[in-house]
Amino acid sequence: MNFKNDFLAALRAGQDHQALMELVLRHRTEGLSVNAAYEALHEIWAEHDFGTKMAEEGTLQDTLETVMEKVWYGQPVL
Amino acid sequence: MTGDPGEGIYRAMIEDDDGLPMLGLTAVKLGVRTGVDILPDQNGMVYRPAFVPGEPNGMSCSPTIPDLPVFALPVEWDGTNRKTVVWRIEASVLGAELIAQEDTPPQRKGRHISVGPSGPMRFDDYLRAVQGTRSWWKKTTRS
Repeated sequence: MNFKNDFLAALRAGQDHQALMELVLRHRTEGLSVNAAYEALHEIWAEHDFGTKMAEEGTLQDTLETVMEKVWYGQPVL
Repeated sequence: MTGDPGEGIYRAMIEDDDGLPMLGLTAVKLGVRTGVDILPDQNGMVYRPAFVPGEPNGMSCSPTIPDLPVFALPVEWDGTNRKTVVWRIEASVLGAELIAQEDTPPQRKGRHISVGPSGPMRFDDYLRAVQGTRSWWKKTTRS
């Protein structure tokens, strides 16, 4: 399963941001670049049209944006 | 970048009805999330961070506008978000309870500044201090 599909399945399953970051890190160890990881997350974000919506705390959008922020800034170091 | 005001402390946030950043515990509101931005100890205390790159040292900001995450960056600034505004705050108005420092890790897409607690305090007081800066954030528009 590729990273985007893997991540989306975990996100829809209600995984929290820590579990999702572990998923990102696992794919990083398998060769996924930081840029490719962020781009895949951004595709998911755009496909949900989140650029026009305000995230409420604890929602799928909130969790996704938390992970995107972490990947963007390298927290933890990826 | 046209109209780029240079280095400072920037964060992309949603604008509230009163023209100031919206308070809240998400990536694009003014606030601090436990377990995401900072890790309180078992007594609910937070401490001045060592600003180790990649660690949760406080609320995330960037030293320049292009360093802000693309999902949070407004369309006006070549980002993809139609709900946010870029805000800037001066370090001099953060107050005695807060400290800002760059802690950019390697292999990242954007440079990072954390706004953390300046010393030991309860997490609630730290959150209150961060949200107390609300009126000091100035909208940064492209002109």
